[in-house]
Amino acid sequence: MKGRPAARAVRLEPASAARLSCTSLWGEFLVSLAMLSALLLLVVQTASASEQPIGFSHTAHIEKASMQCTDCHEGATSRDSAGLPSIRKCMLCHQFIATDLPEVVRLSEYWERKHEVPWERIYGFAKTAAVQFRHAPHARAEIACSQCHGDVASMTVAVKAVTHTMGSCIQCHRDNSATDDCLACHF
Amino acid sequence: MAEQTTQQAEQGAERTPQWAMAIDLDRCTGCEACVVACASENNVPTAGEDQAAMGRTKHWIRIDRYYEGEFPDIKVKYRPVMCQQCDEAPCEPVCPVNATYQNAEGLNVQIYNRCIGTRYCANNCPYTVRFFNWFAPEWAAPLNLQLNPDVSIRPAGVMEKCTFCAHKIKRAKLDADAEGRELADGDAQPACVQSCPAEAMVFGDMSDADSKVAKQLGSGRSGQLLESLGTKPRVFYLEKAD
Repeated sequence: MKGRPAARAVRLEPASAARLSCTSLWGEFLVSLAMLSALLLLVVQTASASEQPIGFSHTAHIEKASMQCTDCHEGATSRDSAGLPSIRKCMLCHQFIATDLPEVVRLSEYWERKHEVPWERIYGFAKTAAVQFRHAPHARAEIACSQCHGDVASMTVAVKAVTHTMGSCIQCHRDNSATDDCLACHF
Repeated sequence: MAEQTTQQAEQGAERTPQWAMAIDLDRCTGCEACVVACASENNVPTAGEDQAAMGRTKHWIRIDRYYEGEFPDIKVKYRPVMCQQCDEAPCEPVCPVNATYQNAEGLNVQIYNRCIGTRYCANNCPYTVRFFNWFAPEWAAPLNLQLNPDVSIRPAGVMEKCTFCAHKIKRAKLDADAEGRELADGDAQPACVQSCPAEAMVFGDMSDADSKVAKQLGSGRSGQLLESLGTKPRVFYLEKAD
């Protein structure tokens, strides 16, 4: 879903570039302008692409508050799924910390209504994909979170920085002499 | 010395289990607990009345019945039949897309993503234990809530069959790994074996001479279904020799 507007921006760019590729300097200027604006559009749309209910900043928590990924995504090292934290976990701190920030105020609204925050998952496979993934063995193999999830520590709202394809999974498995039996993931 | 031990440990870790099952027919009472356990473990849908009438039921495991004698001196014998996980599987070479193959542990694997639904494999299986999804499976609410998340839902147009509960084998391996130990005999148990009240079924690594299943196979009572076809099944049936 999130990728779609950005992809449209990319598609637009070569078309306009082709139309504007005149011989003159003016044409070149226009082309670069078009490319620049397309790039800007891409960046803006990616940044605002998130449909998360709260603009959670990963970088504020990891870089500034020195938290670990596993502080909130508890299952990452021990369970199949890394998991998203319950609002209870957020409120452990945010009942007292940074309570006046607008996003934290929105968080407290969920808390007061006794609702969980309806976070949107950005990674994961569709049930129909017939792919099974287990976090725990990958954590045991000391695969860094960033290898599959990108540099989340520098992101505000997490974006899908890495595309998970069978090619990328198998390449990593082969590089690390892990199994490349189909049954390892497809069952 | 320490090096030797490390080497041995490494060799041990690399040892590939050879999964096999022994079913004691003299113990089987035909209760079908295995059939129920299998269906719920593996998200096997019911076909419905109309489809069942067309012979499109899915049972990854079934109980075959054999009657001996005439009523009232009748004797019934039961035989649970699931995918026999053949070493020389007739289903494998006929698949045009390699969606089914035997892996290093002796399991006949069915990869749903690869299957294009030619149904050659099912037609070539002498045990009739492969099932085609003519339609997308449906579970009327609230039955959808009991689906096992560890097992993929097979979409319409693909073949499915008993996996020897490959997901449970995987889980047992991961659990052993997490606890930093070797996989022990009995750690990996398919749903049918777990549920058998008569303990007629035994599952394990037949390459490990100390495993329960290896001992059963060496009991002198074991045989295979349609042995003469040369399919070399990994499912062994134990019965009293006449």
